[in-house]
Amino acid sequence: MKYANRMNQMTASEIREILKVTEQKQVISFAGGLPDPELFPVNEFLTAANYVLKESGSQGLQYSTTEGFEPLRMQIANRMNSKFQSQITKDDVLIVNGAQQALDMSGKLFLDKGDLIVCESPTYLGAINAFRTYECRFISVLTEDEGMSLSHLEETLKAHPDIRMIYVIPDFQNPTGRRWSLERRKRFMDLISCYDIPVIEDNPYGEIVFDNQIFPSLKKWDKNNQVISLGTFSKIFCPGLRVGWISASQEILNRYILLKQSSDLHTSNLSQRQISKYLELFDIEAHIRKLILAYRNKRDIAVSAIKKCFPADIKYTMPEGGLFLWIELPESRSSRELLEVCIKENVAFVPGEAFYPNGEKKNAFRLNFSNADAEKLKEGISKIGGIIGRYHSAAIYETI
Amino acid sequence: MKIQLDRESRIPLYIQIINQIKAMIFSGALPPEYLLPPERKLAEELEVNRSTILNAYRELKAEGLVHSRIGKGTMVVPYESKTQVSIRPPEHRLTWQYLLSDEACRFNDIRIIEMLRVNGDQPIISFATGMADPALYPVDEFYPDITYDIVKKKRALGHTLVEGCVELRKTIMKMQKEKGIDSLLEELLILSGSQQGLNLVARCLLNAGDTVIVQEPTYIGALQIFSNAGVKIISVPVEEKGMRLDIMETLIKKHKPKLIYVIPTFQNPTGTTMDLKSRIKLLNIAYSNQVPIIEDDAYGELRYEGNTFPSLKALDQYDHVLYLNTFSKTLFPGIRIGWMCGPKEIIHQLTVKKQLEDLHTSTFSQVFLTEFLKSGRFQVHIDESCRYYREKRDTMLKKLENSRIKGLRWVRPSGGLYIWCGLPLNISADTLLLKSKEKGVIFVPGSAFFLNNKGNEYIRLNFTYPTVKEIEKGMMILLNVIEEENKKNQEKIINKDSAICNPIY
Repeated sequence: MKYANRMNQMTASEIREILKVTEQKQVISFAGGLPDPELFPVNEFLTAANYVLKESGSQGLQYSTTEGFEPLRMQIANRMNSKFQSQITKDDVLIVNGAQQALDMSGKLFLDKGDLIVCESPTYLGAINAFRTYECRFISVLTEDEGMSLSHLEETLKAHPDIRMIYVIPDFQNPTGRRWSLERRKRFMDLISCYDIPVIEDNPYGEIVFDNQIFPSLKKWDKNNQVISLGTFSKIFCPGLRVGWISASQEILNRYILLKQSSDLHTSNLSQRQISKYLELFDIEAHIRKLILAYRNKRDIAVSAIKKCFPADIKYTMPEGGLFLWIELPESRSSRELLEVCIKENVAFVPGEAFYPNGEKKNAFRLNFSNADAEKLKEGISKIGGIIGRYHSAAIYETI
Repeated sequence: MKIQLDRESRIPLYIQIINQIKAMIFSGALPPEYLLPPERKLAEELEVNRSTILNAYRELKAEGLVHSRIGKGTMVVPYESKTQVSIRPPEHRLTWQYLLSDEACRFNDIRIIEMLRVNGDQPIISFATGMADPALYPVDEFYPDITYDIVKKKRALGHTLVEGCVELRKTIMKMQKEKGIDSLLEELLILSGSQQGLNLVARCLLNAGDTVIVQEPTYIGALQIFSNAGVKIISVPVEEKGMRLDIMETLIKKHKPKLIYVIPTFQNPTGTTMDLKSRIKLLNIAYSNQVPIIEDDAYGELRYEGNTFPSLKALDQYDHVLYLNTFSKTLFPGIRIGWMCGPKEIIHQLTVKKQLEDLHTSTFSQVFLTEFLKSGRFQVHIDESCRYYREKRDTMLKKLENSRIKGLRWVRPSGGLYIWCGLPLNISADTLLLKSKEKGVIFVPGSAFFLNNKGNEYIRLNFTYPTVKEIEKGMMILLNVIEEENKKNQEKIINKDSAICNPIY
């Protein structure tokens, strides 16, 4: 069989190949972006699941509408409005199979071959891959701790009138853990409101916040209906049910609904009703507070281990939420080489290169702190620190 | 104004206070001219030193976010003076339709979306959707099996493999083996419904400008996906034995198709089934021309009479067939689980693509389904469904037979979900739908299953979703409407020789 041309865009990732090894051995892996499975509310979920089957078994197993289960859409709209200060109704919400599907559909909706897309630098790997199959080109805009550099963004927008989409993760970004400041959000929206370009705001981590400050969604300043917000239950509830959502203006959401229908008709009705029932019966906010406590504690352990075990010139982020730390080696170093050594000593992470669509930087890496337990966290980081130290002095030796 | 301090944090308390007040100002929670609480009061409330609050307020003043008025206290300054930038409204409303990709523009068919909107709550009898009877979902006997231990042990709430849970795939392998399909674990891919399978096939195998061969009429979802992929669709007419294989070879030679999409058993919408001879003939054509076959077997299990024929996949020993199936028609559709079985290399490519589309199919749904299949109740359930559906089919057929409407013809299906009807001459399915909808009955007009608005002289009737009573009532209404239309037409037609009717295939 001959594959379609677009398949050429997709090569089996070298990194995935390296990381495959980690599944077979006793490796401490900081690679995945996984929530801690110990924290899934299994009992509560089962109670909700049983309710669904008992109360509406046959309805729950029947086809649903493409848009999704109406009460769940309403619950999502309400949560978004109260948490992220958007003003949406259930009609602005489409349920999808996790935010990944929303990314793929966004590519399908807006990108033609050769089109330009603006993203942060670095940005989420899964989004890069999803968009890349539409044979688009990426422009990475310089991103600082406060958010995307607006002067660079403006220059870019002026220089390339054919930009078709902007993709951002303003809250505890994957991979860096950065959060855009309020002012940056506002000014970003001021700037892009002068352009006819959709903004995909991906927000899987916004509720996992350690300093108690939830910042508003970009939608708050979206006078122009440009923002398409993506959300998911994967991080605040559990990932296995594959339920996420898209919220956008009616006009654009209708297009997404068409795509969704032709992709898979609708998201599992059972999963949708289970989550909806869970939200109805239990206090998800209490559950999220539990997650926050656990992850904040892990972040603190990770950060103090880094302070203790990493050479002093290694830069790292101090995320106020989310699941990731971003670590930068000196410019001349390659984190992939570091990974190869680390894997031999049974510890793994994701090298940063993968998060740059044009491969700009090779010296950083992403460290997930949510999945491993406290002991493993300390042990793994201390191992990486030791290896960096050795690798470091060896490097210095070479340069001399 | 609500401030929560984190005393464990390394961030100084006054900074925490600043950050939170700032956030409230920017978010609008504290509107312009909002009076902040007096320093002493806030200090008491937060159990901090008064100087902490003083510092915080001073900092906010320095940033120009608040100001003090003697005698009044500290208040939020109006919006404009806080920052130089302000919203410049766009000159024109955003023109979304110009932003869409070619692919998105090509696709504008909302018929399935509309069909799904109809549900049991509405007082309408629906012969439209291809749904299983909800009364048959084996819920009660089944649900107690999912316990805490199963959820924990099988990690039912966590991620699973993109290819699907190993245990589910192994169970399906066993089921398929009983139907003559030998497969390996790596040859199976679990899908979020079989529609996803078609979509993945289109994305992995088809370029714009390629050609595919389909039956005519055929499944609307497949037509949508292929048109959406920008491919040329060549239709081979359906006949009693599946499709016109006599012209197939010529068409293949002429159009060099990338693949053949076929529903060999109880085809949607016509209900026809290919016999063994036609199946072998089709495979031979595919072999000699090096064209792969996508076999959609969604209805194969629902047989009410007659012989069982092996699937094309079971007959194929040379990796030419990519087999697509689903639990939507046999068990429950809302769980959205289907699967594909085919050569390892193509399954691998489809898996890579699926990962980008939705990572994997709901783990809990897969575990739920596995437990059901392992319980051995699947076959019992199918047998029971077939008994039920046979009765429903017969009820519908009887109504048709008794109607004696001139020119109305239909295909008697030995399985599946649908009865395909050819309307009397000069009755259009669209008009008929409008009239019967007014009286509370809907169905799918035949044109949905054809390209280029053909097929308006046919209708597809589903008999599995409505109850027997609804079938009786609904058919009475529908047949009356057809009769009326027919009478009107008969009066118009001068040539009384018009007993000639539309060909049924």
